[in-house]
Amino acid sequence: MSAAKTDLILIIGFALFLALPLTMLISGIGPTGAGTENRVLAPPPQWADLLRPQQLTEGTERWFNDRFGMRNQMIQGYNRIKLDLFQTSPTDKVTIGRDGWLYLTETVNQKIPEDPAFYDRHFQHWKNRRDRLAEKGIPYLFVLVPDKKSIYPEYLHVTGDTDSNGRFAREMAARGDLSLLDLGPALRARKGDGPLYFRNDSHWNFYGSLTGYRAIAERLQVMLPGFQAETFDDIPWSLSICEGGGLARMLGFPKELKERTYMWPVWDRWCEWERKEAEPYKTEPMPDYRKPQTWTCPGKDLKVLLIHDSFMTALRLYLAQNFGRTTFVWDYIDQQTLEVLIEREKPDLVIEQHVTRLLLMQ
Amino acid sequence: MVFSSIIFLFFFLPLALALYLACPKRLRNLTLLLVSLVFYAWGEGFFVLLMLTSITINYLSGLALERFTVRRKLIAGLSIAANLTLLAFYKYAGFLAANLDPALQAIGLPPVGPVQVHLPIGISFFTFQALSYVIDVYRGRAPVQRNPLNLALYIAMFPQLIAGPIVRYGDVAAQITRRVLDRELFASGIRRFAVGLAKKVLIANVLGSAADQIFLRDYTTMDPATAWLGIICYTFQIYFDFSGYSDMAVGLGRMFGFRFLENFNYPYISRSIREFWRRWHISLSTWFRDYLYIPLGGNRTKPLRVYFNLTLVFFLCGLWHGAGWNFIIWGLLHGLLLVIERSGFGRLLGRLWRPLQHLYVLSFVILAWVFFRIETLPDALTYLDAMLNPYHTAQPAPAFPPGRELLLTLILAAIGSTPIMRAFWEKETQGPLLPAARVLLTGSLLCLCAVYLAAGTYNPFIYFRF
Repeated sequence: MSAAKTDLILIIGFALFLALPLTMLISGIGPTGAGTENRVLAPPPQWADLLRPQQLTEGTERWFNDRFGMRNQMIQGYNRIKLDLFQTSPTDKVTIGRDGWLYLTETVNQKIPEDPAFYDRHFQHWKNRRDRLAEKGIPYLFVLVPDKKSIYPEYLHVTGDTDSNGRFAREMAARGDLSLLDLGPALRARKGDGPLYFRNDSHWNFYGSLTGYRAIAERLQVMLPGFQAETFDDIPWSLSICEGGGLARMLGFPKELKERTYMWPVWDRWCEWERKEAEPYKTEPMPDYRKPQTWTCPGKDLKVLLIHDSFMTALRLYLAQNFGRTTFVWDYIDQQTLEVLIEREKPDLVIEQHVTRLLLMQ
Repeated sequence: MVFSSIIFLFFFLPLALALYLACPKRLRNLTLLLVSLVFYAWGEGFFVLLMLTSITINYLSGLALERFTVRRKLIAGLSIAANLTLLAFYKYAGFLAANLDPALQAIGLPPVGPVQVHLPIGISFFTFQALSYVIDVYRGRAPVQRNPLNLALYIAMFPQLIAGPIVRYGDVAAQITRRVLDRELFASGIRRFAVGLAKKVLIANVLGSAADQIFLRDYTTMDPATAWLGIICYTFQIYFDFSGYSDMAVGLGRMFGFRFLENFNYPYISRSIREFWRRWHISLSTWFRDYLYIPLGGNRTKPLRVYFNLTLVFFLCGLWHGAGWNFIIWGLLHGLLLVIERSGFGRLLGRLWRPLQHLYVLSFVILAWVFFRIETLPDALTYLDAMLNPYHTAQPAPAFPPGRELLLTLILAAIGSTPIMRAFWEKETQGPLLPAARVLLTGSLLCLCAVYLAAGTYNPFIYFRF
C-alpha cells in the first residue's frame, strides 16, 4: 500500500476517532446511565453559568466526561486491561486480595485510632444515648459489625492489627458498661462453617448475617425477660453461584465476577410482613433504598426501632421475624433525631447497628 | 485544559480542527487565534487578559523599534523589563517575599508576609516567546509584525502555549503569513501527536503514579531499592511527560500547517552533560544560549568568565523551571558539571569507554533529579542517603511492590528513551508493510490512550450517590 493511501486512511480514521464521541453525545446515543458507578451523571451546563466562566468550564467538563460516546466501552476496556493483563484493580477504591478476594481500599487503609480522646468521645456519646433511652424505660443495644478485613485478613497483603472492632469494643469496655455487642468473636468462631462474607462484596452473606443475628438474639434474651428469639435452626443451607456484589460492580464486572456463597435462605416460615415506607424524619432527599420503612408482622407484639447501615440488608429478615413492628432507619442519627423517632414510633426496644469502618469515621 | 484529557481530545480538538479547516484560508489565522484564546481561558479564565496584555506590550514595542532609529536599546530594554516584570510578579513574588522576610526581620524591618499569587499556566513559555520576538526585531534578525492578530497568534497559539516548545519568532514568522497544509503534513502530525499522547498517558502517567506514591513515603525509613525505584520512575516520567507534550505540540502544529523545531533528542543516551543539554529541552537551552549566554560573552572570553557565564545561565535555567531553591540547586548542579567538563574533565571523559560515559551522565542526571523532585534540601539529602547509604536505616519500611504494569512500563520507557524505534516512524524508512504498520500502530496507540483517559472519568461508589 502506498504512503499516500495510508496517509488518507490515517486521516479518515483520526477524524472518526475524534468525532465519534461528540457526535454520539449530540445525537443522544451516548451513555444515559453511569453503568456500574452507582451515581447520577453530571447535568449539562446551565445558561446562567455563561457569566461564571469557571463554573461553565468545570460544569461542561464534568458533563462531557460523564456522557461522551463510547465512554462505557472504553472504561470496560481499561478495566479489562488492568484486571486481566496486569492483575491490578482498575480503581483505587477497590483492593484485590489473594484468591480474588475484593476489599474496599478505604477499609484496607483505615488505621485503628490510637488517640484515647477518640474512644473517650465515643464512649460518652453512646453512653449518653443509652442513658437517655433508659430514662424513658427503653432498652438499647449497640451492635458493632466487623469489617470484612477484620474477619478475613488472611486474604489481604497487610500486616499489623486488623481487628478494629475488637479494639473499639475493648476500649469501650475499659471505660464502663455500654450495652455494646461486638459481633467479631461470634463470626470468627463460625469461620469454619463456610463463607460468612461475600468475596466480591464488602458485606456479610446471609449465613454471616445469621451468625450475627444469633449473637444479637442471645443478648436480647438477656436484656428482655421472657423474650424468645427465633433460632432459624431449620433453614436448609446450600452454597449457590451468585453474581458479583458491590465491589465487583465497582470493578465494572458484576456479571463476570461470580462466586459461590450463601444467598437468601429458602424457608417456609417467614412472617407475611406488611411493608410500608415510614414517615420521613428529615427534609434532605435520600435514595429509595435508604428511606425509612416499617414492617409489621401479624401475631407479634414488641415494637423495635432499628438504626442501621447497609449490613442490615442481610440481617433484617432475621430480626424482623421477632417483632410485631420493626422500623428501619438507615442513617447515623444525632440524639435530637432519635428523640423525634422515639416520640413517633414509641418502640419497646432500640437497636443500633454500625459497621466499624463507618463508626471510625465519626 | 491539557492535551491528555478527554475534554481536549473529544471536544476541543475536533471542534477546533473542524472550524479551522472549514473556514476560508484568509480567516484561518483569526480562527486559530480565537480557539487558542478559548483554550487558554478554559483553564485560566480571566488570566487570558494577562496574555493579551503581554501581546499588546510586545506588539507596540515591535512597532516602536521599527519606527524609531534612536533609543532603540531603551525601547527594547523597557519591553524586556515589562515582560520580565510580569513573569517575576506572577511566578516569583511568593518566593521572593518568603526569602526576603528573614533579611528584613534581621535588620528590624517589618516582613512582607506570605504572598500568594496565582501562577497563570504557560506564562514562562509565552513570556520567553514574546522576549524572542522583541529581541529578534531589535537585532534586526526578524521583521516587525504589523498585524496584531498575527503577533497574537504567534504568542498564543495553543499547541505550544502551555508547555512549549519555545518557538522563536524568526522560525515561524513566514509560516504565520503563508503556510501549506497538505495530506502528508497532516498525517505526520497525527502520528506525532499519537506518539506524544502515548508517551504521556501510557508511560509518564503510570510511572508518575508510582513515583508519587514513593515520594510520599517517609524517607528516613526508606530502603535503597524503593528509593532507586522512585527516582528511576521519576527520571522516565519527567522525560516522557515533557517530551510527550512537545511531541503533541509538534503534531498539533503540523495539523494546523506549522512546522515547529524539535525539543528533545533522546537526552538519556548522552555521553556528557554538555551533550545532554543539546538534547534536552532544546528550545529552552538554545534560547538561553542565544539570548543570554552569547551576549554575556559566550565561550569567546577568559575561562573564568566562561565558567561564571555558565553558572549564571544555569542558575537562571533552574529558576525558570520553578520558584524554589530546589530548582536553583538543580540548575547549579548542571552548571557546575558543565564547568567541570569544560575545565578539562570533558577531554578525559571523551577517552573513557563509551558505557562508562553513559553511566556518568545517567548517574548524575538521576541524582540531580532528586533535587528537582523534592522541595526541601534536607529531604532531598535524606532521600539521597536512602539511595546511596546501605546503612541508611536499621528498620526499613516494607519495600514498594512494583506490579506487572510498572515493570512493563519501565521496560517500554527504557526502550523509548533510545532511538531504537525512530527508524520505524521516519518517512525515509522504506518497506512494503511499513506504511500500513505505522497506521495500525498509530490507531492502536490512540485507542489505548483514549481507553486510559476514559478511565480517569470512572468514579464508582459502593453506595448510590445522587
